[in-house]
Amino acid sequence: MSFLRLQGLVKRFGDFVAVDDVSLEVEKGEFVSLLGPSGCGKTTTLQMIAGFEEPSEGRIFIDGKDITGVKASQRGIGIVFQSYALFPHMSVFQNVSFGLEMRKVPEAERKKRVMETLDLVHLGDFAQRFPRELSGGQQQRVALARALVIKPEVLLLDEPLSALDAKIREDMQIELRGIQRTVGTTTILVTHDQSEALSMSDRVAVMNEGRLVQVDMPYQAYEFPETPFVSSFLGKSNRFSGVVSGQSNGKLKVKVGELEFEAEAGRGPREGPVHLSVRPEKLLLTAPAEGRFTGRVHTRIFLGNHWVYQIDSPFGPLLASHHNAGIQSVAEGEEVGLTWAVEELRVLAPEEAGDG
Amino acid sequence: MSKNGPIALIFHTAFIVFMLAPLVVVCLVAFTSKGYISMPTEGFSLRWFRAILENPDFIDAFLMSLYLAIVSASIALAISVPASLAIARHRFPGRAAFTAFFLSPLMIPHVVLGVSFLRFFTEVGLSGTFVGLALSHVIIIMPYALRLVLASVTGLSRDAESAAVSLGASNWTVFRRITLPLIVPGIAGGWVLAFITSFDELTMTVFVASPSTITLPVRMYNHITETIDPLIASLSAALIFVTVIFMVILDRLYGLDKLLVGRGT
Amino acid sequence: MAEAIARRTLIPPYLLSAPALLLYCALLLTPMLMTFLLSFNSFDLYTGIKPDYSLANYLEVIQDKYFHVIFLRTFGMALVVTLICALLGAPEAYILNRMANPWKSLFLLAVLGPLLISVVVRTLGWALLFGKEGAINMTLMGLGLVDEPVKLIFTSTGVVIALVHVLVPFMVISVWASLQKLDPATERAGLSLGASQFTVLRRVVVPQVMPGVLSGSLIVFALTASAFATPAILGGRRLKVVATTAYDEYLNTLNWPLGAAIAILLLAANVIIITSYNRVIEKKYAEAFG
Repeated sequence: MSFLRLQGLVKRFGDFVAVDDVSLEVEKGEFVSLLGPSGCGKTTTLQMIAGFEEPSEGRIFIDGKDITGVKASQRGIGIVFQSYALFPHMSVFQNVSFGLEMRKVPEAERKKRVMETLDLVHLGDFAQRFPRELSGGQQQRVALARALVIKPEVLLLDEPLSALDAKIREDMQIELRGIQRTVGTTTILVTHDQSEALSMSDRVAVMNEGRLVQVDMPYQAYEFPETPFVSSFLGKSNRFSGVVSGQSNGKLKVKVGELEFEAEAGRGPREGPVHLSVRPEKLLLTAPAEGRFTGRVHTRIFLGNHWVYQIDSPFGPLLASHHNAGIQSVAEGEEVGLTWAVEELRVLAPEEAGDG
Repeated sequence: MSKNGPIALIFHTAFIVFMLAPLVVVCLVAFTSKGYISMPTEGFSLRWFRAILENPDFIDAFLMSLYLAIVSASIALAISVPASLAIARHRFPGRAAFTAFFLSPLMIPHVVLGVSFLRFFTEVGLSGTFVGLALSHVIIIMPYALRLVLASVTGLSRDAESAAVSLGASNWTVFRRITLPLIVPGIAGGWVLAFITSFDELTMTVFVASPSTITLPVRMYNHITETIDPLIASLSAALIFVTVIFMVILDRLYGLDKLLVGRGT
Repeated sequence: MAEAIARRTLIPPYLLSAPALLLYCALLLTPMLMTFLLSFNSFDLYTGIKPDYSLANYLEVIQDKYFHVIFLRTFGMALVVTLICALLGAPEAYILNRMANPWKSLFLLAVLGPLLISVVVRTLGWALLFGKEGAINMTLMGLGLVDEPVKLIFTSTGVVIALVHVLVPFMVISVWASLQKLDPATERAGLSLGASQFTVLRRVVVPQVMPGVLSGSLIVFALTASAFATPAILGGRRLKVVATTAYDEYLNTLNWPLGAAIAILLLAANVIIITSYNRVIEKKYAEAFG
């Protein structure tokens, strides 16, 4: 039995369906990300779990109890808001202590728990400061401490890192994940940042236009996207459209223009028109004669740890990215062969039949 | 989440009734057909609106107020713009004191300003003149104009100006082509607020206006202290109509709350 | 880039502020100074103002019961009006802020709009409502709440009601401004931590909008203390306040020196109250709101 269960959640605003039949099961202690572009319904889903929006249809269960009609203040869910929503007129200590006061925890114990939680987020020395005296990263930790101190059954993180600088954001990703592991709270993270979702969660739930498109472990979702939307939203991918022309011992043959490629028959369609997708890091550059087809390097960009090439090919512009292995790379204007390992080519349903 | 409960809505309704009741009553009484203050129970009549036109001294006072408000608002803005540029763009000794000085009329009760101007104009021979009246209004409305212009200059990024300089524009060209167009909303808002403040001013003007420079609020005040009749109601109603139209336009252009936030002390 | 800007500051700031400075010196400083000096002169009914200097006018105001009553009434009214404005204006601003458009902007217009309408017109409205056969008495008697008309015109109750009407928009707008700075997520945070709606209001919202309430109170208090038109029209001859008293000394009794002393005292009281109030508030909120 899963710990947090969303069952057929629907949210309509007038004629607009913000969340369309979302069902999700989350295990106790699991870290799940709701990932999607803005307007995909992920925030509305979070608001419904928190109790700030009432679902038009469907139910929400925590630990087997139906909490759909329970008031936000009675749910015992910890939330870290995008803006942190710290109480500006209260000190760090008072902010963190607020939830315990509401639970009428005796003062001595309250003090102990607040300080323990502040130590957990490395802010023990900042208890008497006011929020505006703290950096963004520190405010973020206070918000986390405030949500965790009440020992919530579920922790909701609403784009918690989006207001931070890129460098601090990476550090916080690691720290947040570490803290979550330590306290073991079931956690839902809402984000539009795929790298954040992939790096922190046990599973990602990709949403688009109000629907859950794919729920999978980060590696699986990235390597085996089920729809063109997921393949392009999670990382970059090169896509060609083709038609399945035959099958032989578990492999599909797909005709793309003049050429024919072999691919593993995965979870995608096995006949008719399809999308082929290959990740930039899986698209290999070879000598012109050795590739499956040839292209010409249009632009080359050096990004420190890797190179990115934009290549003109018979199938339009393609992206390839390679580790900087310390050898001289191919120059702009050079002709190159392009190839991939057979198992890296994914066969997906074409756009129309996908998640439209 | 952001829904108001029933108690809140009852409170709100009562509040709105309280705010609008006196204005509605004025407008209703204005349409009476009787010769005395009463509700238009026996049909609406326009006789008291026609009566306004038969009272040239009200018309004259209205025109005087209009003229005065336009002149003094324009002078106030012409002075506020350079002063705002100095305060917002420069760090100089006395800057804080200048700002406080320019905003100080907000702290001074208008009755105190009134008696001071009366004494001053009598001494320098400006008593009862339009020049004196206009200058006294400039002092009263300057803080309002200054605050809005100052806000727009302060909020202005210098990058656009730097860009113009780098493209070879002279100082004057930068001001005329870049700075001025960017602060026009602040200037226009400041002018409108200054205009309204001048047009409505009573307490100070009561001391300074002479029979030849009497403004509409003073004329109406004098009338009310003698008698309250449907004529003054119809005049007030006409003012309310004009103000409401004006108000809706302002609200569309600037948002009334933004314009008025700086109105008090 | 910094050099380019430095080179642009050719017109010195003093030159830019010179017109304003000159105007203020000539038309604010000089008149105020003259009035200050005038307040020490003496006055004779037959010969007029005499250029001698004494504290006689101030002593008269300070010692005369007649003036005590007027000053106490004025500042007492200011206090009551401020309190009522805070109690009505702050909740109204909060309710308005929670409304959805178009209602929000419509009602905001209804609440703030009267600020643009002349005080004379608004006070006239109350004079019409307060009459023996005015709407208020007709309603009260129609409902059987009172048997005979309640006297509101020429009473301090009436003046207070009308002043609240005239000044409450300042409170609403001041609280409104501080509500715009309030992150609505803090209310949700309060709820998610287990606080009831009322507790969120008391512990999260009110403390955050308090600076708005306090600065609104200052505006309302200062403007009530120096209000002229409303007490003059609704208070009549007998219910005098400081501003109307100064007016009478100037334009009826013609005792300008005494009027000047009254005006100077009003100004001094206002300035003292405003600055000390500001100091207290700054101290209190410097920490959290800076």
